[in-house]
Amino acid sequence: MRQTHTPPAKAPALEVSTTLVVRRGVAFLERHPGVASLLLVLPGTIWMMLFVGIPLASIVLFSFWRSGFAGLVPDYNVENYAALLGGRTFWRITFWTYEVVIIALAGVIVLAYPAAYAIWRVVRDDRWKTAVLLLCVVPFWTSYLTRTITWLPMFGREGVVNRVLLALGVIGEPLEILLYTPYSMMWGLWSLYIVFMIGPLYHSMTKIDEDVMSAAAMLGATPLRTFFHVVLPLTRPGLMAGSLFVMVLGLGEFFTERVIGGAQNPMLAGLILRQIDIFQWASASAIAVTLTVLTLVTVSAMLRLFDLRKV
Amino acid sequence: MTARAPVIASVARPLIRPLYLAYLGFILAVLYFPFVVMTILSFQGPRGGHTFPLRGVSTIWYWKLFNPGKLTPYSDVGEFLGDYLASLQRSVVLAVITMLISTALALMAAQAFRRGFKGSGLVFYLWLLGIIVPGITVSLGLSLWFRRMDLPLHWLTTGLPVHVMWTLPFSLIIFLMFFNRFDTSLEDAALILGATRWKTFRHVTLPLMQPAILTSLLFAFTLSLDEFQRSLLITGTDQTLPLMVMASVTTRITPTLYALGTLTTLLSFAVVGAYLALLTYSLRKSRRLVEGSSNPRGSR
Repeated sequence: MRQTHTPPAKAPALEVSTTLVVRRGVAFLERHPGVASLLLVLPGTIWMMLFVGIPLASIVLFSFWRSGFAGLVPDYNVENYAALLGGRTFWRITFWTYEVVIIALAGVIVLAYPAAYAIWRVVRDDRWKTAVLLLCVVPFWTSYLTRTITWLPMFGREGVVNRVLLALGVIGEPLEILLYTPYSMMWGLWSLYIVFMIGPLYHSMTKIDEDVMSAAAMLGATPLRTFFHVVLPLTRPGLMAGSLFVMVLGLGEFFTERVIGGAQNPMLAGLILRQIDIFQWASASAIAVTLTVLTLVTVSAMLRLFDLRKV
Repeated sequence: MTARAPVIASVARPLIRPLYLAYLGFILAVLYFPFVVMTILSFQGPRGGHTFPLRGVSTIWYWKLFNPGKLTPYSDVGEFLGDYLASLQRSVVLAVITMLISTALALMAAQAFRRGFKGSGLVFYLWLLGIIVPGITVSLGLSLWFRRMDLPLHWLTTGLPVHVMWTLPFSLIIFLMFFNRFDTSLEDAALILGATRWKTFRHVTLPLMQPAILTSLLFAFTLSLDEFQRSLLITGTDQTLPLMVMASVTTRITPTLYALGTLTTLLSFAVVGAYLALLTYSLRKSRRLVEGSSNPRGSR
């Protein structure tokens, strides 16, 4: 950007009066912190209301319209929903979506917990702790798409895994289930989402008082007992925060399914995309409405169990 | 527990540590090994494909990245000739603007949330909707509405609102988490000594907040740089980098994509590295600030 315009000529009188106004305004806000709060929270809130509100309102509206050749036609009807909820495909895909998300979540918890625990209790040096934790979370800041694509040369027919297994003589023929199957999709999701779980889990582990741990040990609790009665309950906030992430991301997932899942078993978000591809905007909107409702219900059920602001 | 448990534990104990460390190694391998493979394959020979075997070694895929649209003796019909670097430039510009707006707005709101106000719970959940509502839904709804309003789709004008909407809740959560562990004694001291709220914020709170501000900038930047679900249908013809990657993945995968992935991953590492350096610096500075005020309670 280049500054081309010259700065406006100075107007001393005006300047004095603006400073006065600003000073009076600041003084007013100092006396009325409630008004100050309102003014502080308003800009961001308006931004969120507009750009969350408009898309939600428009999918609700357009889900009652009809998709024509040239675009959406304001011809109100409930056929989009009737076709959707009446057909078996929608229900099959909805159940499949939840199946995928729940297995993904369970797997992520099982994979991430020992890792976070190991960083917390097993790695001794503080500097090593920070280093390992960082290594675990850094992928979060790299590209989601790239991380998905990197599995292609790993798992393909000619991929690294197949070649290693063939060379070792474990298998006689290259495995076909390694890529473009629900299994490869699940592996992709786990490796993508584990980052979201290790961070929050470790965060809540570090909040556990060392005295509590030694008290449990002194009172004769076995490591297993300490884990289930002390560590697990105290790390629940981190567990829930991570789970929330995984649920929300999983329900909206379409890229992994398309690229390494073989595009044969779409989830709800993938179904929306396929409807858009064939210009069925009205029915895409109807699916989007149901997906949003399902997501909101799932998340509010989870938020009932804990307060995200206290993590 | 029975008496046998400690016996088992004492036998297993020497094994537990190496097992845990091996497991950590496995997790790190899962996270990083694919990157290594991708980097190797980005140096694929000109006749090679996107998987092994390597057919020679070359930098032609990097050359293609920097010379978009130019045909080579090796080019073939289905090749994706998009200009990745132009879209990277767009993405970086968008990410920088997004991170500034997102951090500023969240910083303001966080001050209000700390103090608490009527309906703060409701407003917080409204912000949270930005994360919760599925990205494809936002994308679809906005694109249909923009088209209805005859607004031209453009990566900056229609893209920016969505990017900020996506990063704002993260920035807010970062600030709220920061204030959960925040010691207000310095602020109280300033207020008691007669500083106005604004002066307290400007000279006490804001300098102490530097680590949180850096974190918010990092999150907003990287989330925006990688955003594709929400901006999928609303950026128009000039796409951002993730969208161009998506388009090329769904047509045909070439090692150019790996060259790009290698470069952007290095870029991400550089950004995180810069963040860490700045963070250590600012943490040291804020600790000095706290100690300089001779706070009897010491650090934090």
